Amino acid sequence: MSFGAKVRLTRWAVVLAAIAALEVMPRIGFGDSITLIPLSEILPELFEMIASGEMTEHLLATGGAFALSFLLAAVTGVPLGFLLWRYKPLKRTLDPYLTTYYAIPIFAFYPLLLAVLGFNIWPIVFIAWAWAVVAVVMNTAIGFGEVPQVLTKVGKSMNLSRWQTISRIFFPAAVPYIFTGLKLGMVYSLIGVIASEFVLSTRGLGYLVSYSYVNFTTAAMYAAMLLILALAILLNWALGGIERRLYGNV
Amino acid sequence: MHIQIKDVRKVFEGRGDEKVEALSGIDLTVSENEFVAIVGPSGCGKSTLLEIVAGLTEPSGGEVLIGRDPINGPHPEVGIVFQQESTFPWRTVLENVEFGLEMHGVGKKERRERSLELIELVGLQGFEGRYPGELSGGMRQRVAIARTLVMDPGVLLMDEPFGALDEQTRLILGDELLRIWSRTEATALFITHSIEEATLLSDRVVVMSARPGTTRKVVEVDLERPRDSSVVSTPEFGRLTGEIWEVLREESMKTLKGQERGGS
Repeated sequence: MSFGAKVRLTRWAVVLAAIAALEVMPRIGFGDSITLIPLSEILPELFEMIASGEMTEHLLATGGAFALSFLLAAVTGVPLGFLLWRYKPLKRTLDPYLTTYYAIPIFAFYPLLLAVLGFNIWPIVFIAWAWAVVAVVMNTAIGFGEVPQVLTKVGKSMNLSRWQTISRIFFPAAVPYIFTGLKLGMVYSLIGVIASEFVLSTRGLGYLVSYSYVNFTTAAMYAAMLLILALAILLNWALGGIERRLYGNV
Repeated sequence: MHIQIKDVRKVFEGRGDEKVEALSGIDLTVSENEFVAIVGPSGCGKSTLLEIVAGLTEPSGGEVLIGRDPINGPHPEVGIVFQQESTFPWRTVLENVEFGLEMHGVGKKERRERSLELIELVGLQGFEGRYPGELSGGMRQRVAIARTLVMDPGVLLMDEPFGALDEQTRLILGDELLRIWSRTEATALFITHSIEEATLLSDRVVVMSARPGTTRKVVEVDLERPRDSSVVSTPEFGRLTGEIWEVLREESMKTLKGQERGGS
């Protein structure tokens, strides 16, 4: 067996082992039936909730808040990152704030956000956006800064205009870094939305997890968690696909 | 199209009052369709000289003429190939070669035709749809050469294009370059630190001094053209490389001694 095949086999073995553990542990009496239930009871619950339409409302609420916050983080983060790279004084000025940014527990400001933005989708979107945007900004700025000097010389020697140099050399060269930022930003905004829904919402997958937990409907709680996991994997995979497409087409 | 380098000087401003003189008065004329190689010890300013000719760096004194035009920025007739990896990893081989034409608004059909022709000339047919990451270092440099030549430059500048490759590959690519160059009408100025490569390729070899760089000696290479790397084993080739080495050795010693004294 080749090394690559062994690696792939081991990866699947890890997943299978985790699934098996989830199934077996509750059955052999590890943990009580309120805390831990076998996967074979979670999955039917999940399908039932999807089929009955009970899940739709929550999925749409979470999906909507996530899509909005992530798109906002992308459309504000990439231009801000570009400006930060382009205007060195701006970078110099903001650097200490940016590097300590993630030390700020943005989530702790939620009462203020409720007061200012009201009890609606916006406090959630704001928290998720604020969590995600700086990862996008930083990686974009780094990406533009890491473009090899020789590529700009190629552009210069061909008499490219400033706009051509930025759009046809700098931007595509920075794409892998920008996507690193977007992938991080995506994860952060998803976490932001789910965590906010624990306290700031009466809908959404995060709300469903916390509501089910409080009401001892353990199967529903795990069903929601499973759906969040599936959503995160799917989104990451989709963004990876877009990156590969884009990299070959700019 | 010929190149005239007239008393070109370059001084780099360091921190504070520190100044580094990189080039002190270079004079060199490269005639139409001539191939001139420049060899010199490391740090002698040969790459700086090439960038000045390319209009990428401003000289501190003197001037460069391409044909009749004094240089004060990149000249459309001048193409340059760099030592460092300079292909665009997000573009296929064909898209890399098409780049300059695309930027200058040449129509899709024409630029495809011209690019395919160049890809064939550099021997990369069959690799048009590949990305640079899938190619070897030597093949990527051929892509860079094709990308420069597709613009049909009257002057071709090369800064150690095969410098990152091993000696055998370098000589074989030297053969390729001779064949490619003979098909173009370009005047060539080639920087290298390999005496063999310089002698194999050029009509004249300019030996530069240790920093600050000046032209120490010009050696005429009267080996018959068309030639290929089999000339390496001829006594005439040995005599020429010996002659170049004699001067270069002296200059390289100066550089080494300078480094030992704590300079760089």
